[in-house]
Amino acid sequence: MTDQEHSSLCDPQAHFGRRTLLGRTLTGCAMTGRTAGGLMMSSIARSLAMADETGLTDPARPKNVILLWLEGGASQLETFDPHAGTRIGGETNAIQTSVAGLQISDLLPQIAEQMHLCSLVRSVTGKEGDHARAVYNAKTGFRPDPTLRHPSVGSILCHADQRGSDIPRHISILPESSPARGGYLGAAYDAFKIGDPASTVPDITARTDDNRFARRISDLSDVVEKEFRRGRLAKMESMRTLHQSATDSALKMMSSEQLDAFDVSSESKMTRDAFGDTPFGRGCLAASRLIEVGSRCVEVTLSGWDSHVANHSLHRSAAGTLDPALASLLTRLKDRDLLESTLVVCGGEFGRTPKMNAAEGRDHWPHGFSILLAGLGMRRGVVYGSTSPNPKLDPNQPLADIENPVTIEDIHATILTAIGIEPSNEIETPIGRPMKRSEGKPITEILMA
Amino acid sequence: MAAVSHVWALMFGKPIGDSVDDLPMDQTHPKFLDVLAEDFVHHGFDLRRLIGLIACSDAFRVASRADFEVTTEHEENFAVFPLVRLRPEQVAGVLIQSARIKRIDRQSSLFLQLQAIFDGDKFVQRYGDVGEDEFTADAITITQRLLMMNGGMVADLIGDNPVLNASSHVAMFATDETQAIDSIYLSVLNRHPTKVELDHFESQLLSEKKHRQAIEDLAWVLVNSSEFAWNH
Repeated sequence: MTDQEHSSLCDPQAHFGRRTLLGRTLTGCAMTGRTAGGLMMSSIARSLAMADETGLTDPARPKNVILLWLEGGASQLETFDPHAGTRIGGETNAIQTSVAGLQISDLLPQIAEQMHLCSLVRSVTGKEGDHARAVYNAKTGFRPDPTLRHPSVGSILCHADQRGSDIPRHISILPESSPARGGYLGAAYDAFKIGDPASTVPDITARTDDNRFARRISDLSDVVEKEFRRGRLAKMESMRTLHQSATDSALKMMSSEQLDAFDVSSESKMTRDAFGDTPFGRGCLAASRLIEVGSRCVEVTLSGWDSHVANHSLHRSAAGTLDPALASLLTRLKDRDLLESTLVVCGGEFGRTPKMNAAEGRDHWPHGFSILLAGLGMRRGVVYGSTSPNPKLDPNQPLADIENPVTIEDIHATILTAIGIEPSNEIETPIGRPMKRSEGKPITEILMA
Repeated sequence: MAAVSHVWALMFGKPIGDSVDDLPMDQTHPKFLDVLAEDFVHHGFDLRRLIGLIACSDAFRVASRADFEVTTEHEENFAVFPLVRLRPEQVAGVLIQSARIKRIDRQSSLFLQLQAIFDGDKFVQRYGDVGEDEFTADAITITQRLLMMNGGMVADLIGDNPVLNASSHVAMFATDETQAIDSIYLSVLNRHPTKVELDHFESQLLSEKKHRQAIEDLAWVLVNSSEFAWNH
């Protein structure tokens, strides 16, 4: 384990000691904004004021990623790559977007208004057609490998830049079956999992009063832990268990004002309605709030795309959830000057077959699907690659129907480049195996020069 | 050889080399692996015997504590027992067992057995299912600490439940503070308290008016310790 990993649980900039923290808890948070009745700014207002001050001129602004994960595999034809009126187009119509000449599905009218902020890749290909394997591939940029587990983008980002916050820096909202993992970077880089932001963060409140809780903690740290360490592995804490630093981080989180960021109920009804009254809508709103207070990577999952039957009605429903949430997220990040420092990625593990099956459904299709990228490092209002409106669908030549095909690996290399990490850089796994960050090639056509 | 390596890893919580499966062809491995592998083959692949042999070895019986400064080299050379994180399902299992005076096994009531299975599964899901990574040497995470400090399962298991919970039984039946502390240590950590620990908690219990609550607090402290979550 490297030294970098040891510090991952601590905030290197402002590390509250356990006693300082408990002292603050015991004095009843009297000095915090929460109880000062508006006299002091909330943490979010303060962070925003800080953001305004540093603004775009600060090249050291932390870089962030928000991943809107469409689990199950969204159909490109019903979302970002419609071929209305053709034999493969289905019931979906195309509508004009804010980018001249660019049309997307009529199921996404609000996103259509924001396409001038986005780069759209319509020619993504993968080699995995099974959900679990394709999810692994899309989330890590590598195909499953029995000898090691690769880290997700958020883990790489948090590992490369250790600037911290009280709350976890890597968060997975509504994680479904595949929350982002730290892989060979270690469990310290796993995403912190939460459900619908309508309910509170799990296990965040002590179950006893402050005095009793403080005594429990001091009995633990000053008596029992000390006795356990006696005569055992020297540097046990830093080299092995991280028990105390994980406890400190958990305590810091429990009393942090930044926790407010999880609570979307403090937003105006208008804002909440704009994102949509759905777990995913609330998740996207929370993602934006979390980035504002210092989280670095937040993924929000929306499932319901796996339309082997009744493709159109399933997509109408799922797109109805995605549309207001993504459009509002882009607008909010832009309004708050965060789109320059935050990369928004929207996509799933694969697309769906151009040809309808007998049940009016579309099956798994990794040969030409769409991923949307916006914000940090991305050109705006551009489209890269295309799929044929009249595909030959020759199973021996799946790439023949795609112009400028790119791979999942290329998407990862592009994301890493945008967040300032050289994809070809090698990093050593814990057993000393050199691994490239990504084996793909960045798509320079959509990256800002 | 691979079978021996697997059983060894299961018993020690970590493989002998870098990996359980990936036995290097071009490097030497500890001689005792050959001895164990040969014995395993000679005795008709008798797993019971293999487990027994490893359990009798000095390496398995040695403590993780010593009167010299312990380093990772000592661990690697079997001078001390390696400090290894328990797997999530092991933590769930010992947590449920620690709150019960009697052993939970096939003789237990169906209710207790089912509770152990369902609560255990729910706990493992939050604590983090390691799956294939079961022998990685990862540290404790924030989520795990939050779950142990504030989670519902811990609260239920150490809370006031005169029918089921060990802490309630101890509060009701222990004859004095020393016996109460000793019983909680035995049920949670399977050992007696050290003198330092006994003195500290004894004075605490004597000064505490809410006796039951203080015993519950002690149980909380012990299930939240490194000693509880790590094989040592």
